Amino acid sequence: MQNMKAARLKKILNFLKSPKLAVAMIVLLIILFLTATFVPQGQAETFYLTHYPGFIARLIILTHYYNFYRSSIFLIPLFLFFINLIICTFSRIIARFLHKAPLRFGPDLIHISILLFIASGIASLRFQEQEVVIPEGGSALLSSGHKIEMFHQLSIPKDLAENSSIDLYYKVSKNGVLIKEGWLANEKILEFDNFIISRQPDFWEQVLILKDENLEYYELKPGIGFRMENRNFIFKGISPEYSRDQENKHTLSSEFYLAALFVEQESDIESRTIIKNRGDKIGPFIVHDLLLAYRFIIKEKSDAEFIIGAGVLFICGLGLTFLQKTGDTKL
Amino acid sequence: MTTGALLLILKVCALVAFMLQISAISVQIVYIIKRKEKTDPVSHWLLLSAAVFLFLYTALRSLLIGFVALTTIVECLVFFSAVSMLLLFIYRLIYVQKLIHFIVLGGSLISLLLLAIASSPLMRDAVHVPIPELRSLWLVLHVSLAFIGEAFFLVAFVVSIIYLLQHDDNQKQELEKLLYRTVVIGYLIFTAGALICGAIWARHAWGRYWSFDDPKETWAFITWLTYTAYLHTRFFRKWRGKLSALLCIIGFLFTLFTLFGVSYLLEGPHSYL
Repeated sequence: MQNMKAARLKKILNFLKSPKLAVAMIVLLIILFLTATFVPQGQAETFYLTHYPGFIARLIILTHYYNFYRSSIFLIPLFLFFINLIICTFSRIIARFLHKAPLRFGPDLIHISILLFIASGIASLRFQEQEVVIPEGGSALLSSGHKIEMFHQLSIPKDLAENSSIDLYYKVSKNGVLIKEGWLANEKILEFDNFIISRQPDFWEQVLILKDENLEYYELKPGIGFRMENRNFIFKGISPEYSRDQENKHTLSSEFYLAALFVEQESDIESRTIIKNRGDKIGPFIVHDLLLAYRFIIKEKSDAEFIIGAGVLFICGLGLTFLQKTGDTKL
Repeated sequence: MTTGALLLILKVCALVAFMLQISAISVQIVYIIKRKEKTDPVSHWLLLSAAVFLFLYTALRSLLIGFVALTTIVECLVFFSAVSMLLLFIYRLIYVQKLIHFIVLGGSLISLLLLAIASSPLMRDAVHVPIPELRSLWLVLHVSLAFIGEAFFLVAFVVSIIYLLQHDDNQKQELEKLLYRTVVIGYLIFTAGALICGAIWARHAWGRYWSFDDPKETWAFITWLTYTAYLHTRFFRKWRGKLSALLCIIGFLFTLFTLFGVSYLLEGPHSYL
């Protein structure tokens, strides 16, 4: 009876450490990854129902393909592959030490590094990304108690050319104590304590608040407008502007302000761009306020530095395997 | 030297490389058609000269943009083509395989195709200074090593096709050995470049090592997995051979999709490439 149990256990172990299982899992993972890149991730269910044929949409929803990297359809094969790799690696290492297998540690180093990659990948799943929108002069409070404040500043190039850009000045504080402050250029990331913050350059919220003579307030977003006396006024967005001198040139003392850009269309063909500042009149309205906000991706840092170590281990293992195998006549 | 003069030299370099490559292919085809016993004595030198002109193109373009010219799709294709030609030259010198002239011809045709795509009007080829996030040594290592690895995959692709068409068992065994060696070296360099240096660069540029939201990264990983599967199929006598060769062919097709398909069909942070 005990022999039968041992034989069954051995059979299961042999199946779990089999390279055939590894190849099957790799091929399955290839197919899953491949299809997942063609399914937009993280959309609402209605998106899939409206963009895909009924059967495929239901399949995407049922299998949680819309959240592929956290779905069981991905995690189960990955887990099986992980188990396969663990059993295969350690049974081989034990066999090598017992002199039942040739002393070739190259493949073991490769497998250990892949185990480290997968383990770190699974561990990093708990470090969720968070998206926040912080308006000009506004702040965001993180769950850790950190407060981030952002201020827009106009960056005027040294040659005073027209293509100026908006830079951000940030302040990070915790419990009222300033931890860090400085400029956050477009391509840079902000790091403090255990957080990494990156600015999304193309995603800023632009809102124009108009008021009429009855003190009714209206909110406009880019692309929206109003019609008056056969003319369309379309709000195009908020533009960083800066004051000019008498010769209509920028100076180093130019002040930065935000202005609303409108396109005025008199007919289908004729149109002109007009710029309005706070307090200016446009049609029956007055520009009351302009709101500009950036989107930021806030990510808690995982201790992923050891991934580099795993990478080096992988390369060493691969090199060692190749060197040991070149002398092999089976090659 | 003025920018205009440099641009003119760039064009001349590309044109000369193109002509040299066509000459090399013509010589190879003539020798194959005439069924000469020996491989031709000149075509590999023509390939080397073409590679030198393409490397010169990359060097001059780097001077123009003030950074290593590996930041746009055209620059990458030129580099890929140059490395492939250099590799084919080395293979032609090292290997005394009977079928080496077929391997070199197949590889030359693909690298010519890559160069033709690079010069196609469909490609955006503006010579401009790269954006700040691209100006990193890690990016240079990432791109150059990834394309050197892919050049080995290109050779492996041609060897696989010849393997599948071959009936002689001895030749097949020789090709199998060559295929394995080529893939392992390519796999090693590709892993170091595309995955490891790529991850480090992504950490510097975007604040994270890896993101499966970026289809380019996912497809590079799919390519890597395919070659991983290839290395494992060699454990089994039944799977070794046809299946291994098929996986190498699929792997290279995935490499091409990662390069072109992802850039034009799927959106992600790599979409400038």
